Amino acid sequence: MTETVKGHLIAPQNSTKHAAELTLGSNGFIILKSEAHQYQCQLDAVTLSDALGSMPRNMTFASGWVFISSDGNKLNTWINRHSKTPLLVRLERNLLLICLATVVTALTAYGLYVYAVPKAAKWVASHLPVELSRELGEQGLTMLDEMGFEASKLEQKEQDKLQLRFDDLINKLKEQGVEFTHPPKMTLRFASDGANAFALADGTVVLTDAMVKLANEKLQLEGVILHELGHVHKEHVMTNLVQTAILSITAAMVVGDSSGISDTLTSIAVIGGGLTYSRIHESEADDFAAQQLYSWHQSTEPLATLFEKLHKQQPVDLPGWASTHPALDDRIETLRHYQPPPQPTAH
Amino acid sequence: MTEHSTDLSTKQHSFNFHGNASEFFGIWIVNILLTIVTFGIYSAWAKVRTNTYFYGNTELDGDRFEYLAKPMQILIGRIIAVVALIAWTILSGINPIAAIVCGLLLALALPYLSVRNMRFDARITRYRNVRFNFEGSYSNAYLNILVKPLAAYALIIASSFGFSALLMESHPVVAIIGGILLFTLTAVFGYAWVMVGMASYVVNGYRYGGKPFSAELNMVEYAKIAALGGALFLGSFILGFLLIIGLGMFDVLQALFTGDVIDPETQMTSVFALLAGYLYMFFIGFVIAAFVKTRIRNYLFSKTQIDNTLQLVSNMTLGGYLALIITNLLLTIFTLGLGRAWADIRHAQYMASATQLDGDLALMAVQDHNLEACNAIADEMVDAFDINLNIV
Ligand SMILES: [Zn+2]
Repeated sequence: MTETVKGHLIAPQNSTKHAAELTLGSNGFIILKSEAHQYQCQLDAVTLSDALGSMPRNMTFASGWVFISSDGNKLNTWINRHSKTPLLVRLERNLLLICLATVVTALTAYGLYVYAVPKAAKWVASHLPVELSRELGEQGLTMLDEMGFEASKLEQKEQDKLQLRFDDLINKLKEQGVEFTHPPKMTLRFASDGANAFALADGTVVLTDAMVKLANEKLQLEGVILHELGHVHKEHVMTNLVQTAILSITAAMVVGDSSGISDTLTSIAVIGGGLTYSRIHESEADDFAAQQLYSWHQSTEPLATLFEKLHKQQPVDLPGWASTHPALDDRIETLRHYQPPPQPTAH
Repeated sequence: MTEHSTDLSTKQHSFNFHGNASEFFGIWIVNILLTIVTFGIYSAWAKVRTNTYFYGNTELDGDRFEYLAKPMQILIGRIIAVVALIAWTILSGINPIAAIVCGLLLALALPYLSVRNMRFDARITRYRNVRFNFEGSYSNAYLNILVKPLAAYALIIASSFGFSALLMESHPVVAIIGGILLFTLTAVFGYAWVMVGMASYVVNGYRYGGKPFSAELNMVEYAKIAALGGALFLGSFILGFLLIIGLGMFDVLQALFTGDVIDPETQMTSVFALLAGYLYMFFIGFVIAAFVKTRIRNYLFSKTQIDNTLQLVSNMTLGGYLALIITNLLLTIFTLGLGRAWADIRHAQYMASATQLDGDLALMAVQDHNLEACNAIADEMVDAFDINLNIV
């Protein structure tokens, strides 16, 4: 049984069209009829355009002439009957594989986002030259001063006392074998908008005067310093920078296109990622502080109390999903229920 | 619906896109799966498959376009581009001087890369056995892509700031208002001048086989579009501000920014106000981008002819395009990226439906050139560094 397919021929390397007809034999034999060019051969002697979805396939004859069918489906069906469908095309149509691919893609994306990116960032951050973080730390301090931070207004005597206590704390930590890539320093600053504390890239811990006043008990101050030292110990500032860089590059690569959507999505992904990661960092720093407080004083209560005070004075408390720090309530709760990790007991 | 003063034949050919979302989703997700499994190597094959699908489903007068790049070409280009990008990122991160040198090198390379990229893209595109080509010269690329933009920046800054600085002592009010006016004026005309230079360089460099594309562009049209875009931005900004005041949100916002204590009840409203404001600015950004794109594309196409016998036509509408990109954005976000395949298909459908070619295609017998698309390095570089020339 033979079939015929109407269409047109295009000359080799020339855009002129000629009406043509293809006779398709049941044994795979093809007869091309046209005023401009005639040809006959077996299907395996023609070059077919790649099979992809339901795109109509063209036939390029050995002479360079190309046949384009006006009924793509009919020609495709005949070709499929007489030649093997490429594996890739079968995969792309396989519903089971499509579902599997969707799941694998989703899991890979999640895994990259939650495990691989933070791990990689941590590794890169710890291998960056020390000069870089020193430079960034200094820049951070200058930036704070430009944002309206001033030299501390506490009495010199009190400042010296605080400095001594900070040094004591560092020595105590060092005795316990806690290591810092950057020797921690403490700086006091006055800021008009309330109690705050930061850790900078070079190991500098910044406390505002208001924070010193708010943490009016010795252990509360120790708690907040320990929290910031947790950030320093885990190199969170540098890790954060690297994470942002990795995320922006991957997001741009994954969603790259031309209609401006990609830029929007990239920034959403990066902001979202930043939020998630900084929550993890806050929990890690809380955990670091809790561990020390618990082993020295058998209680994490001072830091929890301080957080409660901070909570009350904070003017705007964005809902948990929108704030950089995890909702303070949750953190206070976690601190209060802190259980020290099981210590290896000597027998 | 379209009338042209030129005596082109009245025949109209519309572009049609035949791809469909469910079919493409299979191709797209299998591409991703294989890319993951091969640690990225397959991405070159994925790119070829995706482009083959989009070119091959774009039809004009009964024939489809063809994408001719080979996966190995793409892979080699991609590896070189990624290595260059990593080296560039590390070098520019080391110290400020290296960063400046890196930036300068990239700026110097930009025109060269653009030419190579456009040439590659043109030569791997075929329609009716005839490939496209790009013949713009390097010297004109440097003039239009590097020198003119720099000159425009210099002019804008020097004139407005120079004027303000001159009169600041004697007439501060005149200095500030005049400076702003001068800045707006030079920015609008600077933009128009640069865009006209770039667009006419690009369009006039294209060939279909040996037949040249040509476009005679008018700076005033571009200046109008820029001025309208600017006015749209200013207008919506003021409208937003008036809305805030009208709704009595001003105090809330002010408190939010200055950190004054707000009672818990207004807290939620203030958060919503902030969120609404954010969304509003976001939307305005989209509107203006869509406005500029539709107007420029429609104008540029209306001036573009092939061999003086075929006329390109673009019928994009602001509403249509805006609806498209916003629904596509939502589609992608709410499916956590999986709707991306569907969004791409919708984009291609819209773009094809808004494009047509007037004139009798059949009358034009075109011979293919015998020039090969050499390598894909520039093509991949432009993608990796995200430095595509956007003339529309
Ligand atoms: Zn913290």
